[in-house]
Amino acid sequence: MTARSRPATTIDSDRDGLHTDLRKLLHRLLPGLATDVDADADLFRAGLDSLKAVEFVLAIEDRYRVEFRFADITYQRFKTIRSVADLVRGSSSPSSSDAAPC
Amino acid sequence: MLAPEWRLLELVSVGLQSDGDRAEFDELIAVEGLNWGEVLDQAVRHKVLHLLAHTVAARDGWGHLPRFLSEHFRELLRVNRHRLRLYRQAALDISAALEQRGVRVACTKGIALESTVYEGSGERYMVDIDFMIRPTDGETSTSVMRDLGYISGYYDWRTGDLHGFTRRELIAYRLNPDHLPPFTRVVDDAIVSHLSADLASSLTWTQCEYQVGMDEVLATVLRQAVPGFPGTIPVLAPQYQFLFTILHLFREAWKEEWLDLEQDVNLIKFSDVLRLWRRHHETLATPAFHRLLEHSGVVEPVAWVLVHLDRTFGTGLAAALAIDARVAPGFLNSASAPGGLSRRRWRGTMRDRLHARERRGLFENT
Repeated sequence: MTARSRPATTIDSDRDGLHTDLRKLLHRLLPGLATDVDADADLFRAGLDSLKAVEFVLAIEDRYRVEFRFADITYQRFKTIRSVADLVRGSSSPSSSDAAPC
Repeated sequence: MLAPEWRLLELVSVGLQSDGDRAEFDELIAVEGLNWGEVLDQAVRHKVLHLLAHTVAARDGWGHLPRFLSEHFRELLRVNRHRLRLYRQAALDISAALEQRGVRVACTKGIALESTVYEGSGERYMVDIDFMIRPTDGETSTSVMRDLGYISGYYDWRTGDLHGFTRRELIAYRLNPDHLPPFTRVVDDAIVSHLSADLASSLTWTQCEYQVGMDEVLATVLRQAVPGFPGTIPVLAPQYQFLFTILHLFREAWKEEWLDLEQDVNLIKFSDVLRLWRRHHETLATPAFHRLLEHSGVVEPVAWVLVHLDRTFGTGLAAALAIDARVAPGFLNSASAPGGLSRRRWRGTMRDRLHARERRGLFENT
């Protein structure tokens, strides 16, 4: 699994719902970004610079009460809404092998 | 007509190559009313203060300096020579430890240049030791650095302690893996408080369209003697050392975000490029090097740097490499906006930009 999870993680198990939620988080950082940005669009080409990418990671961690493992925080994994959603969903799994309460 | 203060700094940056250069330098430091405050301020900003001090010493120009400055310059050189000895030892230790663990490594930037193109005189100032590794060696390299007593963190000047990076900072490095988080360790020395080492794994940056494979870059690593020590350090072959030095300048000049970090283009970066060219021009002014530029797809950024260098310092590197006409109109004054999404442009010449204290005002949207 991909992250240490905190208790009380609430993640929309519905894929589209999670995608929409992530788009909203992203839109707060990038107001110019289309609210319906494609799940496979390259976010870094859409204006996500290195500083905002850090804010995006921290915003996701705060929103879903997860703490990603450093090994999982990669340029590739934060490149699209879909890959981020997969990471978030994986991080919240109760069967996560490296899950540890904070 | 350049102000004598600025002309003095350009001259020491490119080095005194001829009797004419030496005579001009002697005249400039003797100019009545020379504004030494302006000279010092710009020299520090451009990291050429030690170059200036060394050139004054080499020309025995002490009599023209204000008395307070003479002793300060001598002290600067003494301290820098001492610091360089520690850096040399650290570079030997780190590169040997990395190689022992199978990491292909090369020393770059100041530590690779200070004893060659700057002749080991203590005139090249540096704040850390730089290395180049392959992206796949990051984890092993981190382990080696920890074994050597370094931490991923920074030195706190107020407390004299080391502090690890915050989670936010570490996330930033994870998302920009062209560098590992810098390593630091405290030194038991009366003058130098700590040593810092920077390990990079790209000649450019993570999302850059210009990439040169690190396996290729590190395939031919040469051994370089270290003054005062019996061992050698690994360095890049001249063509890759030159290419890296150019692309490093391009990175920090073309990406606008470096303005905020005060690491924008400066005189010492151009000095490094020009001095490397002089030392290795027989290897560089060749069809083989031209083919390397073409094959690597980096003609455009290399031309960007060299055309600016030529126009500013009156040299002819771009023409010698037959790439002087390979810069698209508008590209020379372009920059990459934060995020790389849009292009920006900056007004004036490179000399205007170098001289400007407030550079932000030169930039505008295209």
